[in-house]
Amino acid sequence: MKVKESISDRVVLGIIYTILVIAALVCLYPLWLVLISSFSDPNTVALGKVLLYPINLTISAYTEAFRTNEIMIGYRNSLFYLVVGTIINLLFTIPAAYSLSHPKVKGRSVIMKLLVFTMYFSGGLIPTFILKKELGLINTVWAVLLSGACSTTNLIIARSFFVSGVPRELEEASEIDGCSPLQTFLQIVLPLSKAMLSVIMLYYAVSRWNDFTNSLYYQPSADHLHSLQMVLRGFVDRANMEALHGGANADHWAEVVLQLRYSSIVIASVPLLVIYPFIQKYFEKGVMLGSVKG
Amino acid sequence: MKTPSPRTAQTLSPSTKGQKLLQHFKTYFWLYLFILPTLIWYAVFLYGPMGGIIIAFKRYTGAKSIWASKWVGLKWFKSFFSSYYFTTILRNTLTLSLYSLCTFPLPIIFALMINEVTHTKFKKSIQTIMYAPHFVSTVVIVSMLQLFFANNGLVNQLLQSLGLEEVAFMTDPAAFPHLYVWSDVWQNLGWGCIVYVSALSSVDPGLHEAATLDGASRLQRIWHINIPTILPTIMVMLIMRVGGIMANNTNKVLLMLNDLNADTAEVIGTFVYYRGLIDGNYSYATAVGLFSNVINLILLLTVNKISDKLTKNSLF
Repeated sequence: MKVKESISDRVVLGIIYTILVIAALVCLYPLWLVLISSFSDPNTVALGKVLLYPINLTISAYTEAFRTNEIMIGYRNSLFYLVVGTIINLLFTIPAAYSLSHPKVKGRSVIMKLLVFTMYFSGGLIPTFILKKELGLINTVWAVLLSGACSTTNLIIARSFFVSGVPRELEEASEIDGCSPLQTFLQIVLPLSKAMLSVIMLYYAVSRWNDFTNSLYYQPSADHLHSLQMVLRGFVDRANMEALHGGANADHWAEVVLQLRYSSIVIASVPLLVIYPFIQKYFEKGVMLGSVKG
Repeated sequence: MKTPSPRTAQTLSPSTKGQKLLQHFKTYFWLYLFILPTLIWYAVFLYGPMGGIIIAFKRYTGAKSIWASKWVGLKWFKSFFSSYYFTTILRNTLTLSLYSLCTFPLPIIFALMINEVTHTKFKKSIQTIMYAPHFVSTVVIVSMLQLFFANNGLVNQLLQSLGLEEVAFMTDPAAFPHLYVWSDVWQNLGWGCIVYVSALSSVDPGLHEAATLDGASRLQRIWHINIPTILPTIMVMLIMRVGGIMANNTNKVLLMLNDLNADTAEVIGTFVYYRGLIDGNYSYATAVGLFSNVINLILLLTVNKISDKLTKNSLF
């Protein structure tokens, strides 16, 4: 039996719907504004006329971006860090998480405590830098690739999944059949963990693609290895300088940079913004697993 | 230790015990191999730097090894606490964190609202759209701030058309905290909802039916049923937030910081970066970083304890 909703309840619901629609528009509009500005004539953009749709459609900002060496090298480097970095992340996270979920492994609760402790206390930036310097990693790709090779949060998510999402009986049956733990892991456990693997992969891929600090801190004099985000940071710095010195905005170069700034934002953001809606259904699962205590 | 009786010695002789252990490692060899690289990585890259903290108590310049450097006791801490910028940096760090903390209820409120939506399609679309800013990088967020809040940017054009005076947002110390906090809200509101929305999915629908029959309004049901259900989640998230109060999003501040807004924008994280990596004052910067790490740890443990006492919710 369904009770009819009172008028005040329906009003409340109406208000909720309205607020949510406004919030969604507020989330979307700045991104839309960047997109349409990147496809518009820079002078029209500078006059503040581009507000809802592109005006004087042009792709010159993109041809300019693809002609700019820095951006192209940054893009190549970012792709490299994304692919190789995420593979390293998964190799350092998933097998270890499985091992820590296995009841036969001795000392796993002590190990878990040691790993979780690093979430609450760290050596800090400078000792980490000095360590990497001593290891000869500064100004190499390894400084970026090995930074954050395993995130404890993701390890906890993966481990909770292995504990609660994969039936122990299946693993035991496979072990009784004479499979080694490696075979069980590869043939039984991993195929059952696709949802969790996609979430973890997405988390890692996002942090790899969006990272600029590892380049900033650990590749101070290796511009050719910098990620795309680090190249964009160069634009941010230049704009900061201009703001300080009241930079003239009339000359041609300023126009090109202004144009590049919109298109480079689009170039750097499009890959993730296109991919995430397709794996969105896994997010909730990932967050729920992550909220289980370590 | 007592000498074992002959019988037990027979059944549990050292050799069979050792053999058992050997058999265990043989059978589960792969499981230990799985965890080994990760353990080594944690030991080297996370525990290694913790050992490096001792340079906070030494004069380390990079010329001599850490061991060969001279001990200086608490010299760096003293000089940081007595410097004129100490209060400014601490004030900025805490202002930003506390201001951000004030926005803590927003994702909870939005999750409660999203939870009221019954059209699945509408709900999913709103969530998808609100996640979008989360996937945009910090550099891009600051780039967008610079473009929209520039002196000749859209926001100032809007102010002028309303007959208001132009504001130099990106260099104004008074504007910095607002730009920092509200761009964060914009970026993370949708994403922050996920954890609460999924916690809300565990609310017993029977409770709502019963309450509706008893004449409870929508808001009353949210207040008396939904919020108590997600209270444990709220507490855990709050502990994490308070525990991180000394650590702002250094990366973002680093991008927004310039000579003119430094009065409100210089925080501990950026200070450590400039003093340590740029100026090369390794020991001094390590001491400053350690100070904030220790305060963080103490705060986390305290809040965890208080929450455990008051609401029986804790991290560990």
